[in-house]
Amino acid sequence: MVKSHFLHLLLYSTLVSVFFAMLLKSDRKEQLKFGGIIWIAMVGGVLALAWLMSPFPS
Amino acid sequence: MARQEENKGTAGPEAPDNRRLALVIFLAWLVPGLGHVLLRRTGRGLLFAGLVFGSLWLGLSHQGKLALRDPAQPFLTSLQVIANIGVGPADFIARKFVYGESALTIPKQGTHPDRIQRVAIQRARASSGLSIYGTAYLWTAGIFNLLLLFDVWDIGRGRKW
Repeated sequence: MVKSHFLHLLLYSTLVSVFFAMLLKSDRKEQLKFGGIIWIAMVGGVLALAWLMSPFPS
Repeated sequence: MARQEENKGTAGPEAPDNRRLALVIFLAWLVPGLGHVLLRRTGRGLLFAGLVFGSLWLGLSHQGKLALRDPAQPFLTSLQVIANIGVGPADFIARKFVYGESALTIPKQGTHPDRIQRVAIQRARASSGLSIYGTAYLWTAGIFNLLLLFDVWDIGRGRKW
């Protein structure tokens, strides 16, 4: 069982980006590019949102 | 438009007829990835099977909530159930282990023993701090497989190579 929230972010982003890259692109190069963009968007988006929220702790 | 014209008739002689394609889609729901394997996309099929079953396993091992249709919130809970059963019979097997039977609903009456038992099981699983991730993995596995069914349909109809 993975207990780290950050590892879940990486794991889930990888799962989703690999799936959609394989589903929507057929060329290996395109798959890598598209999957990479999704992965960076997901991980980067979450980290950016976390940073924006950091001045407002619960 | 030009692309549609381009793709017309690319299915070739191996393209299955509607009845066979419906069977392939049904088999693809039964076993994630099998539809692609049957349409000769073996590598993709195996990878998709790994992703769907991997997500399902992550969901179950993190105490994800197997959704039950609740008459108090019928719309949202029905969508959750659909996302879960998208993964095929594996979901019903998982329910058998979690709830003791392949339950899909919570009885309406507040004192019904099944309701009390299923709500207690759901609360116990949700008490884990990671349960929310488990639930996301379970929904993802089901939705992945539902998307794969559309992909199988597109491949079978010759709209996608």
